[in-house]
Amino acid sequence: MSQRLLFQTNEDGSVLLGGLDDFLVSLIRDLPQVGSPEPKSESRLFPSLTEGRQPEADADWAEFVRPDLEAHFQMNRDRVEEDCQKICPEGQRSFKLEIPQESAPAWIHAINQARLSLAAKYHFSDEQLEEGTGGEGPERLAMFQMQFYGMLQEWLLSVTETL
Amino acid sequence: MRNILHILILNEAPPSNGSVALPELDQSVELDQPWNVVVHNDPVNLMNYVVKVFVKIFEFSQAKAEKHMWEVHKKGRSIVWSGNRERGELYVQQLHAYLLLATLEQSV
Repeated sequence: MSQRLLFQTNEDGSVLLGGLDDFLVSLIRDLPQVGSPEPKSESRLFPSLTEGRQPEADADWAEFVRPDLEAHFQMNRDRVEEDCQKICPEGQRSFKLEIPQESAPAWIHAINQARLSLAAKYHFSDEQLEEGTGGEGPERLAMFQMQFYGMLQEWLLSVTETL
Repeated sequence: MRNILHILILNEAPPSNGSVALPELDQSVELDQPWNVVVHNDPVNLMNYVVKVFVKIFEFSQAKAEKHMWEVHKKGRSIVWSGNRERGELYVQQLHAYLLLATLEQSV
């Protein structure tokens, strides 16, 4: 990362993320896809009601509650995808993204989905997550992604009143 | 399952010695224990996020939300609400919508 990131809250409540290079823009654009449920992350994104203590209740939960959750998660990812289309150049080598105030909760949720999905997909241990270390190759990139998304989420939480 | 409540209505004045004779409890009647909404530790969710979720869903004060968040973090779990099953399920659903690891457990 050679340039400084800019986090700014505007008077209208929107938030501006500036100083993004190509790589960070690609991570942001990947957010909705990274958070999409896949076999490795499904059990984390859609936990059971009783952890198997009441199989019938857990089956009902999967049948009746999960579809609502899926729709809710999809809605958040769609909102992020829509906002990502407004990423635009600023200067010669950097880009900026403006997140409208009303989109902030969707971003916070979509980031959460992506971070949880990455952790489940790469089986990061508590220690790895604590230290931010993630092995080599794709794992290392995934850990960097998690940290970058975490930083974004932390910042959005700090400027957002309600979820 | 439904809760069965024993309500004793004493229409008569207590005896002059001040003691009250209570009817014998029917041992065959099942008294349901309340259900607990339990939030489990998760190394991914940010602490600030968990606090905000507790405030949003349970309308906890900031201090109470932080107390539960730390309990989850340090002990691995925290009972954030107790009561009837239907409402407990609703809370678990809301917590799952915020991607917190939550389950419903009956008190023992």
